[in-house]
Amino acid sequence: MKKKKIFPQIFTYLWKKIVLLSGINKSARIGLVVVVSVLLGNIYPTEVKAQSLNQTITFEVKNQSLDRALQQLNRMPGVKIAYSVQQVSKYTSVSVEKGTRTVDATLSLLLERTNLTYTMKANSILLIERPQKSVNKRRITGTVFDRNNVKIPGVTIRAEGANVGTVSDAHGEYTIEVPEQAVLVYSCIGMIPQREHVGNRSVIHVQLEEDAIMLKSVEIVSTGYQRLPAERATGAFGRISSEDLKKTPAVNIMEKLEGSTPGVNFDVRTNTIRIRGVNSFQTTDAVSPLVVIDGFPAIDQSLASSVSTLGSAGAILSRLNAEDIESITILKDAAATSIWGAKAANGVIVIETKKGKRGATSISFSTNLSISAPADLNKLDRMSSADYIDLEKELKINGFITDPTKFTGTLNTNKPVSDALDWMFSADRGTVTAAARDAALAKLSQNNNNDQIKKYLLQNAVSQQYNLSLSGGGATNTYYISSNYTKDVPVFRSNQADNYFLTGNFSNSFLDDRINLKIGMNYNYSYGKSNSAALNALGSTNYGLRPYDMLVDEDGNRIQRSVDLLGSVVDNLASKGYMSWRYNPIDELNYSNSTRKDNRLRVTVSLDGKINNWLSASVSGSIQKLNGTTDILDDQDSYIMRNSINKATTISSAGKLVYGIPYGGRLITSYNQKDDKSFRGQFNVNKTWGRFATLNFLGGAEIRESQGIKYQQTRYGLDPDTYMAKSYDPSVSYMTIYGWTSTIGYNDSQVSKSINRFLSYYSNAALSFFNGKYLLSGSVRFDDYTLAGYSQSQRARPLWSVGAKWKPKQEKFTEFLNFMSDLSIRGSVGIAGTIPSGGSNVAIMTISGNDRLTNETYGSILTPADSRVSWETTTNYNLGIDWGILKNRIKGTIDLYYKNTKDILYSLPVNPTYGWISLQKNGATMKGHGFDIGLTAKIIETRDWNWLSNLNVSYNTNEVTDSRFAKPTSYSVVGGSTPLVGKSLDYMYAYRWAGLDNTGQSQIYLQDGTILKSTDNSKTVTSEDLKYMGRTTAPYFGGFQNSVQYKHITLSANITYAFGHIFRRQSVNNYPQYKGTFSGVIGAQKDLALRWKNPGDESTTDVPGLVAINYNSYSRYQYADILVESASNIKLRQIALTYSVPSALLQKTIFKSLNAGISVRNLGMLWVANKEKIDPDYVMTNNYTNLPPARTYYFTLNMTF
Amino acid sequence: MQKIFILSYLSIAALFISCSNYVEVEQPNTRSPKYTSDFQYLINNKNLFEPSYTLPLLSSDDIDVTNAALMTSITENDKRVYQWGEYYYTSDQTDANWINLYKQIYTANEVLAGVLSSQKGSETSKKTIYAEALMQRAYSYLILMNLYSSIYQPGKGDEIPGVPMLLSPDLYAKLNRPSANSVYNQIISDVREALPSLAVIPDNNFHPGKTAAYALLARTYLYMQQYDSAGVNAQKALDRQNTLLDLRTLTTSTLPKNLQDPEIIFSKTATTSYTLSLNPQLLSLFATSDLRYSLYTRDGGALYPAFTGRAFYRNKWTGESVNVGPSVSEMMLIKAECLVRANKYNEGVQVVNDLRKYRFKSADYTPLTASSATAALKIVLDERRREMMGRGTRWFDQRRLCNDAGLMPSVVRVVNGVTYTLDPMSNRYTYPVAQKILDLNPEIGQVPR
Repeated sequence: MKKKKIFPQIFTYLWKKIVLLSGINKSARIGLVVVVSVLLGNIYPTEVKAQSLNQTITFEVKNQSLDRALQQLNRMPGVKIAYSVQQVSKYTSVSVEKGTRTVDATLSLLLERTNLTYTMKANSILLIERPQKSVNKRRITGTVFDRNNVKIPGVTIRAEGANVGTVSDAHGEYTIEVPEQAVLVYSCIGMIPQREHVGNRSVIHVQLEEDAIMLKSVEIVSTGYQRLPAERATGAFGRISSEDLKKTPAVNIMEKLEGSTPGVNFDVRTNTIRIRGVNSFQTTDAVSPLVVIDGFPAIDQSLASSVSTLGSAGAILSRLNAEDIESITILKDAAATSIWGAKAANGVIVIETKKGKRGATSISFSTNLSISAPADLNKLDRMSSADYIDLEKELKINGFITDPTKFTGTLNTNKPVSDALDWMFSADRGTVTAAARDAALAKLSQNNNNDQIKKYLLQNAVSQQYNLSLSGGGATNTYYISSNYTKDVPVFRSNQADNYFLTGNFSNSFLDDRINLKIGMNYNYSYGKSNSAALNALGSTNYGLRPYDMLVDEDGNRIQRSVDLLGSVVDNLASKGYMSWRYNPIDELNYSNSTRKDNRLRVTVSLDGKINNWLSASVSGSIQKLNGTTDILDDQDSYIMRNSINKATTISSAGKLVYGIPYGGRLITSYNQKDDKSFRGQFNVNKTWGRFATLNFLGGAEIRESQGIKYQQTRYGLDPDTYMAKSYDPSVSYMTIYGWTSTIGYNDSQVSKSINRFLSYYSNAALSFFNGKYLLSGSVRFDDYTLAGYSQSQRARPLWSVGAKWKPKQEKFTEFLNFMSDLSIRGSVGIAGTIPSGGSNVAIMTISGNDRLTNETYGSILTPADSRVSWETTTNYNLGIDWGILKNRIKGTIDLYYKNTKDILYSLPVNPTYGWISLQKNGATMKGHGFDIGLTAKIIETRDWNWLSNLNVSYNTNEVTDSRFAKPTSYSVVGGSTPLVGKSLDYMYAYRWAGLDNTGQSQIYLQDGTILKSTDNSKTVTSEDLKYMGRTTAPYFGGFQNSVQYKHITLSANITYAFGHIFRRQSVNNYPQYKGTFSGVIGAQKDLALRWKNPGDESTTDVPGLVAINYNSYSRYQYADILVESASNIKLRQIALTYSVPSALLQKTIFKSLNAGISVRNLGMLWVANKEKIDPDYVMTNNYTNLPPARTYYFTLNMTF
Repeated sequence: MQKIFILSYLSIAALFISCSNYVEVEQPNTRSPKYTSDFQYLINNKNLFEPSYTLPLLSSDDIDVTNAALMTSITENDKRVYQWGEYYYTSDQTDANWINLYKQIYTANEVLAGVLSSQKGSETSKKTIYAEALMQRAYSYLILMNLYSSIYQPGKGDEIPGVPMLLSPDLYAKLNRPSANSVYNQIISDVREALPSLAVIPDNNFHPGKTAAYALLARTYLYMQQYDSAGVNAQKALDRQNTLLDLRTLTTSTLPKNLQDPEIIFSKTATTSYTLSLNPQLLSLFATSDLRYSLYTRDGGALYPAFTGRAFYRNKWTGESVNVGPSVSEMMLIKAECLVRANKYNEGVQVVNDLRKYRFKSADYTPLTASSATAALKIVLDERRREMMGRGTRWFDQRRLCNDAGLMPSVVRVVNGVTYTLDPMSNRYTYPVAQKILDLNPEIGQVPR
């Protein structure tokens, strides 16, 4: 039964979808009919125009069901009859004698013995119940909207039991006469049918809700080269819609994506994306996915970046306006990615921007505001002032720090000590009394600078986003225009980012839709400012604050500390005319700002033409430009400049100051320009052979050129008012204050210019049989690109994939699967490749510049001619199951994959006799596997209540399989990153901790169980003595999203989790590693207060003591197994509450829709495995520069007009 | 309509096909060497070609460290060289001298393989670059032979294993050691091949000219103990360049830098320099009025760590690396030695005196005389030690003088109370090949220890 109906259902569905999308304009409609006809494959487009009841047709039917007869009629050129299956199901046998008649006459004959009749509505023939005589008819008018208050044309409106019906017009409006007390049913494919009691109303406006599951079945995935229904795809895709993106109001698009897609790890802290782990030993860019925007690779291969390089501290620079994004498709397996060739070995992220829709103009405005307070500094891993002073005392007593005032010579260049140590040394010298010292130390230990840091250096993080867009379209054109302003201010003062976006997407069709022109334009300006004064104050450089170092004194005056030379020395120098050599972080908030300004422009044009009903061709091109400048301005009054000028200043015999470097500020400007141009020609074939088979084929070629230039210029002696700089010779030496000479030196590196060209041929074909019951796909791409040192045959290599899909539900023998509403099984295999970047088949040289002495230009061989270097290839296997049960209320996707990489490029040792110590060779092999599971459930689905739940589970692991990467004999793996056979790339080893000895120093267990003291050099530690701890990236990760809707209120919660990995706790840093004088600022970690002090402490602590400290002891503690902890955690990312104003309330307003929401993000960890409750994602080597993000409150408002 | 589409599409396709070379654009500063200037840039690489060796500075008897503090300043690796150890490098260390010299050979081979067929250069410049590459390769092999091949003994050159010899940039060649004679013959034939194309006066002393070629031949024949040929070539070098530094007019602050030093024929430097105590026996050869004593050495008391004695300091005054390449004074001393060995000992001593005139204040200068060839040879060799101290070339002299009975006594060193003796013709006169290098290509073969 079901199968029988499939055809008319598809037809009516498509028809209604098209009516819905188009609008009433006749020519547009006809144009769209062409598309429908082409899809059905048996009507020539030109014949359709004549649709009318007066058209003559030849028709015959014998004892067929009415349904079948109408299907037959609908296959006639120009005939289009809309009806519901229920209407006709009771008429199982109708007959019409063979004859040539008008459509009108044929229908009359056909419906003679039924109680049905027909009417022309909105240019289509609609089957209706024969009107019966009725009393008290009421004329109802109204409009049908969707939830975004877009008017819906083509909605069928029927009165229950009254045999009358109509269809909404292009403006979504309808008029119907129904009996009083009737119940109207509004239905439309893709929408949940809605019933309305007429009552005594004469105007009924209705808002229909989208039927998510119905829509899902026609979900479109985009590969960047084509858009195809997900059910026609054999590959593994992840898809994020604009609605999904809207759910998270964050400025950083990475936060919006986090946890959204199984198998994809969006790391917000580092702004990196990994799809299904890594395939290569290379790091960074070489394992990042390809980012494609509107069909062309983006000029910036990242979605967002932080203004500053200082961890997560900086404001966010966006590359994309999230509001412009229609959808993001993530291509995960070979079948999906191979169309992108060599660049797609790590997956592809395809971003489609919003396009206009035919229909009335719609204006939407949205804004959101976020506020978050600085993280609580009292929760930082910092010692109290008293503990810190105690540590300083011990350092002093044991001679790690000596009195800096003791010196011989003319200028004391010793580094100053802390306030506490200064008191101690002063007392030792007798310049203050012991009582005064103790009083001072007691006072210092009462200090806590957290409040001052918060007050003067930190601020509430605030972000603001405003978005205004306009979209709509007429019969032959559409437009989408948007503008966005986003401002992001992080907690660290004097940091900020502003992002501006302008987007225009236009389309025009000509010659009855046979030619389509699309133009997309996007401009982005981003401005970012970073200043590290606040971060430095929290760090452990000499600008760092000890726990008792206050920023301002009791009177509110800024405390000026001397950080490079002793206070007495700099005061003496200042009296001679030197600039102030003292430092206060609050002052520096105004200076030494790094500002970054990026301009990005993207223009994409495409022209499609239909050649006949199954073939079309398109040409498209894209121009992208990036123009970025970064200015680092160290003003004359900045500490950096005062410090450098003072260092380069001497006093002449005449008593005058002689400046070695020009007096004034310094401005370092770096320029970065990139130009990308692409051009593409493509054929598309879409051919159907009845119900037997459908072929989708595309083939094309493209060229791309990418040019870049980068350079930097340093100016000295910059006047803050006039911006005039002074000339200088970087090679002339000057006398420093220390008595030796120095030069400014040439800091501006060479101009770096690059040009790369790409030439590609690609093709993709999908053949589906029996209405998609079986599907075969294949893809091949051939890439050739600029790569010095390779012949074309080495450079260019075809990469391919094949895939298949089967829908067992459509088989006759699968009735036992009736409990499932949807089931398909797909598999794919393919090869992805990476071209070697560090090796070549002919020698490559680099020109290095001019020799300092001979002034001759010189160069060197960068890579030798290695005939045996070739591609690194990854074979990908994917098996996926898409299923749904309970009418798709619960549905999911399961993907299993296996990856095998061979010929991995790795720098392997070479005999230096050949002239090289190591070379990139196709050395290694590795394999990876994992699974991605996505699960969606509509747990509650009623008129008023909805509960939607979404769970992602990802697992990924890899293993080096090459025996040449055997475990080394030395203990270097403890901190190392060299690949090891049998281990994943992110392994971690640690020493087996055996506690402290009675001198407070580390002991470790060797393999045989013996204890090795840190001072025992008689035995060497080998890798066998180490303990394997686990992996540092999470093998299991994912997200869990829930949203509960009651009428117009929605409450949602997002959770992300990561399990199965470990991290190394940072226990002690900036701690002496050997006996002798210690320089620098000591770390302030709480663990340092727990250090061993006296014999016997070893029973209670593991932190090595100072007295007998040695390097082995320090490093073995740092790398000990006791500091390795489980990093498993569950985080509550967001709770959001939104309210949509019911459309009924908006009737008389200018709004089509209005909704507002409040969300709270970064709610912290719901659960974490480590007992210290440390957030494992924010454990970094630098102290405090990576505070976990603080709780952030967002207020959002969306409206359409 | 359809035709327009098909035509436009075909024309686009044709465009792509005609652009098969489209992707082969040149990067501005990274490319496969192609133009003659590219090879010129390679051969101009002073950072690569100028540094030559370091270890002979430690192993030669120019130095003798007795001061304990000074001894602690020597690294464990250097100590193994200083005491002529069984091995110099541990299994995870590599030998920088070996690496550096073979890197020069690789780059020279790369130039030799490509320059003659390069584009946009004159035939003359191609040939000059080719000749310079031959010279650089020959020089590197000469040093390698004197570090890693057993002492050369005339008449046994076909039996003594030389060093692995690569004459093309091949990453997969076998690395067996050919005979010492094969390597020396290659060196000589390379230099002879280079000679006609080399500049008479190169742009600077880092680039080898004809003089450098004759100087290199003189050195090569000297180390092969073919004194006649050595003398002839030293004379040819001197015919072209004979300027000596007039130490009478110089102070430690006016000593010229290597690039401006008129004595240097072919600039090569030691990769590291040490301020270690000079051998007292060497210092005893100096008259205190010898300007080389005051200008080229410095009192150990002024150094850190301080020691009794003197250290070689010639290069420290100019802040550069020690020149270890052929010089005018070296050519004079080769000429002198060959004259003496040819029994023309008065002529030989005269050459020594010609040099010494520039090394003493006129008031302090007295010409030396010899009564016999043996005495004259001692005069020449002592002068050689004085003139060429601190440059590591003494190590090469020590090796060749082992063949002359009585000219090379045993050298004795005491390190931390242990006495080490280096007897004439000892296997320890040859440097071991680092284990790491041997592991990768065992066919190189370790020299007997």
